Amino acid sequence: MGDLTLFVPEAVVLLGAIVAFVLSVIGSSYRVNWIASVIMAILGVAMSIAWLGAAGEPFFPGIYRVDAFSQLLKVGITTGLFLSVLIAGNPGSVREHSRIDFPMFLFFSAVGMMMMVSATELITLYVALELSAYGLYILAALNKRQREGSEAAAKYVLFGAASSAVTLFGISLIFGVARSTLLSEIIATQPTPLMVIGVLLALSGVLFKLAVFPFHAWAPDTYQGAPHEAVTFIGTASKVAAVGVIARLLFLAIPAHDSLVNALLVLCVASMTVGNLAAIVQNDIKRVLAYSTVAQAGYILIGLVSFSSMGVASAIYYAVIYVPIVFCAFLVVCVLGADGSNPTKSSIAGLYQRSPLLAATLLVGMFGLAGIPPTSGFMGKWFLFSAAIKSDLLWLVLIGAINATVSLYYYLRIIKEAYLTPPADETAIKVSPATAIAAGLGMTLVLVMGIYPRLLWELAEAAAKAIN
Amino acid sequence: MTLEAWILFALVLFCIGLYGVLARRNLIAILIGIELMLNAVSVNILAFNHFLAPDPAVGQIIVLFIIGLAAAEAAIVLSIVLTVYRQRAAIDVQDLKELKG
Amino acid sequence: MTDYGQLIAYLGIGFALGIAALVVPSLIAPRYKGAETEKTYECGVDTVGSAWIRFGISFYLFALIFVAFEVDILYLFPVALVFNEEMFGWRAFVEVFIFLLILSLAIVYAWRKGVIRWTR
Repeated sequence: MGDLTLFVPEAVVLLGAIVAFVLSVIGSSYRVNWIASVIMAILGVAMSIAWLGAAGEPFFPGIYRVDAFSQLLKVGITTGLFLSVLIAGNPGSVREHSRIDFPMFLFFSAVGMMMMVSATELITLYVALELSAYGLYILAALNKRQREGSEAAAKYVLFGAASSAVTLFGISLIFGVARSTLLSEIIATQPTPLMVIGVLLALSGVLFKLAVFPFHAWAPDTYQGAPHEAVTFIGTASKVAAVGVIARLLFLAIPAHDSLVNALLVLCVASMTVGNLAAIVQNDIKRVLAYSTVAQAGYILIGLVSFSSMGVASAIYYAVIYVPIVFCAFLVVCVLGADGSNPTKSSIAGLYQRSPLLAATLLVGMFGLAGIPPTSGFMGKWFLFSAAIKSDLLWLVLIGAINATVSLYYYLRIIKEAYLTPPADETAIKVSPATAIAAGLGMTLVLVMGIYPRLLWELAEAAAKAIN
Repeated sequence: MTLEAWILFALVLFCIGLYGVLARRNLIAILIGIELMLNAVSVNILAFNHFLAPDPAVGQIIVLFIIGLAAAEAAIVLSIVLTVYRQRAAIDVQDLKELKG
Repeated sequence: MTDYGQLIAYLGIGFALGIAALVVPSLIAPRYKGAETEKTYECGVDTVGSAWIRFGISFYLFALIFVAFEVDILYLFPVALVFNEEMFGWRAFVEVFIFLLILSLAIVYAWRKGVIRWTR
């Protein structure tokens, strides 16, 4: 047994899940449950930051590793959890009698994600992956409009279960070649073609979570049909965890990486292109964000297929800054859709007149997604593209840049609606204090990381070194 | 039986399951396909375990985990299918087409 | 008589009895054909209504809880294997107890959410 104190961040989030469970079982009001959840989520973020420098193995040797890599991603995951809980003070899109369970599933899923990024053994990894997924499947079904919620959840769960079965098949092949499930022993074995196939299949489950091109079919429908607050969590924290696992798994196959890189390059280009082109024609804001997620997953893959320390660092950096950026966009969706409906392009018309704060949040979020300078999205794309250039992938950078330009069109069109189109309904939108704080936090994080990227970049570089 | 025979068997089982997932329209039938895929994985792991692994306990424990998680997954899928049925009185993929952009 | 001979004789008697049970009634029983013979269940309570009725949703929920938990018995097998060994005995006992405690929390959840309450 190792040093159990290394497990504190996860333990705090797990405690949060237990608190939410107890409050749900004894039948307390949602308000009490929410306040307790916010406190536990703050504690979770604080512990993750405090344990940033920790390194070691809390359990049996080789199974679970705490290092710079896992800890940085855990900060990203808990931040996503905290922000998602903070705006769920009055989750209008969640079914009334299920609200009380809402924080519990968020917390359980977050525990799974945190364990995912630390797991260095395939079965631990798989169990953590499933733990994080089960909570999300149920969250997706809790929509107040049950017909749409159930459809969204059905698509999500069936795609998810099928891709996790494929992942498991890949794991079985890796086990067959390496005769062990410990990543440290698998890296030491001579890679064979079967091993590369195994890694590729094993990646499918996490590529599904990241909504990379052939595994993206669930994303638009699930984003549209799931409750806004749940999608906020799916769109932020789960992406961070997925990037972490992909980075870990890719390093298994490095010596034989040519064929694997080719496969991933195809996925990367296809994701960016399909995501951006499909996003243009959408009218529902949540669907726009879903397709934009697909495109962003493509950008992240640019960093990972660069197969260099800098490439991994840039992917980690992008995954972490991506959390507050997407959060800013979803916060507006949550407030505008507080009655349970999905905001469309017409319902954000004149948002600036109705609520300057929300309009500013939307502006920061869209600028971040598009990668426009003062935001962290720009720095993220900068690092990704320069990592690719260093690995002689100039053509990939060109495709990425073209895609970024295409994406400007639909991101800026949303901004134009919000600022320049006169509103159909002039009434001011009321923003609750917690949501206002969340909006301020989100914008601050996006702008600070954009203007002062150094600290986070250094952490990301340390993380990339730790994984190697 | 040799290792190759077992692995071929697992691969065929896996492909049957995958075909079921892709071709079937009924949500329950898709779930059955997924279960077939998971069982193929179990066969695969036990075959590797029996013929190759230094410590035979590892593979057996893995399979126990797979069976447990498969059951949990089945429970979640079935409960979601149940809510779909209560909303639409149908569990065909063709009926799941309300979400569109 | 060898052991196999005994077995074959036994099988033969079994078959003979089975055939007799089919042949004798067909020879001596009265013939009758009517509405009763068309029924799904010839004996017992008359069926009421269609079989395609809505069942209480509680049945499905019970079944789901069963599906989720019956398989967890699997995790008791490895414990049973090592239970007798010196170094595992009490530790295994405590660990299984914790495991069952966590499982029973889920039952508590189902109970508090009113799944077990019989509603019509």
